[in-house]
Amino acid sequence: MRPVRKQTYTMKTLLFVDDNPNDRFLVEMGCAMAHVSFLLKTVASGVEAIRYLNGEGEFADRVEHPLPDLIFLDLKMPEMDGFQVLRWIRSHPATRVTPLAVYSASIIPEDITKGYSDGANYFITKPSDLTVLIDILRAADKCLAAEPRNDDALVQFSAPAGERS
Amino acid sequence: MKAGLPFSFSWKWLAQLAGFAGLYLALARFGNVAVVAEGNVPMVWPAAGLAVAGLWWGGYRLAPAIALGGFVFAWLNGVPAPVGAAAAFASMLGPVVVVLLMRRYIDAPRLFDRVGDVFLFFLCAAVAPALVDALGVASLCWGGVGKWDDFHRLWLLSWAGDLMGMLIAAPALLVWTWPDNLRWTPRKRIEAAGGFALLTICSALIFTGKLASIGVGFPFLVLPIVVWIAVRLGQRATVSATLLACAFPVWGTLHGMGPFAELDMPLPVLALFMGVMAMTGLVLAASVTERRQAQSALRQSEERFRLLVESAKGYAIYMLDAEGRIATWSAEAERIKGYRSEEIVGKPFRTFFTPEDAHRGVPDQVLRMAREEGQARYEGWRVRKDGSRFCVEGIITAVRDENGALNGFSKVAHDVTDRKQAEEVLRQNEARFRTLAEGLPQLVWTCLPDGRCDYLSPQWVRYTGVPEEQQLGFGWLAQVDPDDRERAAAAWKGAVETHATLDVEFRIRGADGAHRWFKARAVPLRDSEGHVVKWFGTSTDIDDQKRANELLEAKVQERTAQLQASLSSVEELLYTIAHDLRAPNRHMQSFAQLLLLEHADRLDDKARDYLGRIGAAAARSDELIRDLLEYGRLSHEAVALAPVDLRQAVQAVLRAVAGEIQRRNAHVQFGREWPRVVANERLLEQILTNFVTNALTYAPLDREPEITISAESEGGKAVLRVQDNGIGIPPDQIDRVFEPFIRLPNETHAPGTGMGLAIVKKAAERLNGAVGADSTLGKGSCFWLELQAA
Repeated sequence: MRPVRKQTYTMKTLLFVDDNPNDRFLVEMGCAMAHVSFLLKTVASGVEAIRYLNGEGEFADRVEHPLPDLIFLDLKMPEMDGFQVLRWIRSHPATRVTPLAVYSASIIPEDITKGYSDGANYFITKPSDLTVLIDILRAADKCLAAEPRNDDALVQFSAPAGERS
Repeated sequence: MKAGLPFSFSWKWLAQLAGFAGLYLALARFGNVAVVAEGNVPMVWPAAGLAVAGLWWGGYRLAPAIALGGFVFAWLNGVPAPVGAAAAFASMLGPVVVVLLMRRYIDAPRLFDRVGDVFLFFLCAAVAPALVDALGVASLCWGGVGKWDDFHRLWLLSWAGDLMGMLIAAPALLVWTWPDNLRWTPRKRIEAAGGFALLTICSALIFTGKLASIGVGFPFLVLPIVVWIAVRLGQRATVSATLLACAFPVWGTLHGMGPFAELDMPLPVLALFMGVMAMTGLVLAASVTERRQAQSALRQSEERFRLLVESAKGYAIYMLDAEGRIATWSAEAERIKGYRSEEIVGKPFRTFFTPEDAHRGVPDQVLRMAREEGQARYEGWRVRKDGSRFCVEGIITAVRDENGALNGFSKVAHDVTDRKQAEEVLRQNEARFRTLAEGLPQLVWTCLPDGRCDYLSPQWVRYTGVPEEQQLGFGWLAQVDPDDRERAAAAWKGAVETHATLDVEFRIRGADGAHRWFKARAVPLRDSEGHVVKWFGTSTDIDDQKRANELLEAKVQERTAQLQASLSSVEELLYTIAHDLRAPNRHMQSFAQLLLLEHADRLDDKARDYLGRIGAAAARSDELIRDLLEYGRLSHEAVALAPVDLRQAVQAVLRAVAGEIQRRNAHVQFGREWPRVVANERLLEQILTNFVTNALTYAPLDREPEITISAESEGGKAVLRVQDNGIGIPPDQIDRVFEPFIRLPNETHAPGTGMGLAIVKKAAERLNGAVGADSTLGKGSCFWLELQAA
């Protein structure tokens, strides 16, 4: 984990949860290229994500590790998969309503349906094209910047809810 | 007509009494004219006959009328009242006693039909007045009307008068009250007229005319004429002739004419003459009647017998003489045995026997047995005239006269060939059933309608090792496995009560102690009225099958589990492909882009080209993985089917590919009919997308693509067609286009994985539909999808 920008107290925070270092790297690159104004925090597993959200161990400092305003969550991860993490997040008071995007390579309809029914706000399929990734991150930035929150920017990258199986 | 209570009062009775008394008085007065002067005793007292006839018909309640008439008569004759009353009582008592005796001893509605009855009547008419008249004469003498010295003569005269009155008048009156026993033909009438004329002439000549003085023998000339009439002309004529034959001598004698008067014979002689004549007439008439009745009875009996013999269909009834020769024959015998009466009567009885039986002496044995024991029953085969054989069952009975001498034999033979044949068929059926039952591998059994078992095939006995007789009834249940026994018994009870086919499985203990599964089935046999007469059942050994089934079931479960395991591993694989296998491609593509973006200044054109190729290859690889994933998932993902509007699906697809259509400047035309189909919207759109993009892809570059999308429904099916004007498909390839990884060359060099139509085919299968293609090389192709119409 390394902060891309110096943190400020007013900055919004996006927590990116993915076990794949390439994806984490690409997102960090994307954020840099997109010139986003939010703080990107990345964790490498579901377990770590929960520790982060609980403020455990090295995540105890909330100044350094603020509670996220938006979470990108991979599905297929060792130890604890994305669905488990998602259920934990939605059962935890501090994160019960935090906007969350499932960010997965999956195009399987069952995954999409389950993601939404477990409480995800968006279901974004990982893009192959870097420019699309940059667009997604810009949309996320736009969402986070809007006051009150505005979903429209991210929705266009999200698989439609209620996808038939 | 029996009397009721004789003295019950009624006006009708009084009137009858008065009438009868008048009648009695009148006849008494008439009789009195014929009184011989001596002692005032009438010679014939017809009033006594009237009294008897009246009491016989009207009953004792008319008796007072007789007394009344007698009293008035005595009074008219100047007899003192007490004497008259006593005489009147006597004249009443006589007929009453006579009728009493007649009723007691003569048991017949027609008094004079039997000779015995006639004699009984004489006896009654003779005995009773003899006693009663003694009383009457005694009363006359006591009253001074007669003299005691004269008693026996008066008594005799009085008795004779009463007797004659009864003998002559009573039969005449009674006989005329019931129908004559003679059938009056014209000939009989002429004969009667002749008879009576002769009788009148003879009587007139003998008793009143010139002949009267010739001699005493002549009165007997009348007798043969009366006999003639009695024998030939029936009772009425007889009594009438007797009356006539008596009237002349009485009249003649009273007038001093005729032999009785001239020879001055005692009056009883005349009475005797008349009595003999009356008796002769009555006895003869009765005798003739009796004989005629006997003949008639015999005729009737013979007629009845003949009718009996003739109407006994199937029975040959005939007589044999004492030597065993046929004596009589009948129509039915002719029908059964084929011989005509004239052919067979007189022939020996053995003619009917088969040569074998005749040779063994069976006919003689039968006759001997009948002779010795009175009757012989037999059954056997006989031969008809035409040589055919038939089976008879018969009785031969010795007929003997009253002295025990053998007259012959009566024979009753019944043709039982049909029955015999039916029995034979039955026996054969039974044998056939047994053979079948014992030849079957199943255990066979039969039961009575109430469910009791009455037959168990040897297989059953062999299998259980328990004798059949121990298992009949409900004994077989003991061999049924205790765990199944109650269920088996209940099933059997239910079947028996409802007459339904039995179908139940249970275990039966074998002789080796092993319990094997059997399937028992039984059906009821019904008679023509639908009543169950028998149950036929089989028990089939299904133990091996049952065990094999159990084994198979276990195997199926095992395989299913294996299959499910492999299926879930496939799903796991697909999941891995979806998540992990795509990542390297994605990263390759992204990093190639990143390299181009961030380090473009350090790369020459060749390097940039290579990077572009790396990115494109990665994209192709990802596309392939996505198609494979889709293809794999189509095989086992759940597909929900629902009615779908085909037009909307087509519109949605065209919207999605609108850019490409525009880019290629393609023209799209539509059909008119848009049936609703049973499908899944996503799969349908996937198929349509494939069809449309193929039509665009395989269009030659030098002409604008023309696509026609149409649909039609027929017989519950709907067919959607996408026709293009593309390059077409070579005929040898057309069957292969729906196979995976088959790609045909095209001029646009559009990217593709070769999975498109394979996915289409799979999707169509999941929609319970079918896909196909028709194509003309160089002209275009038509891809069609057939679905169930909604």
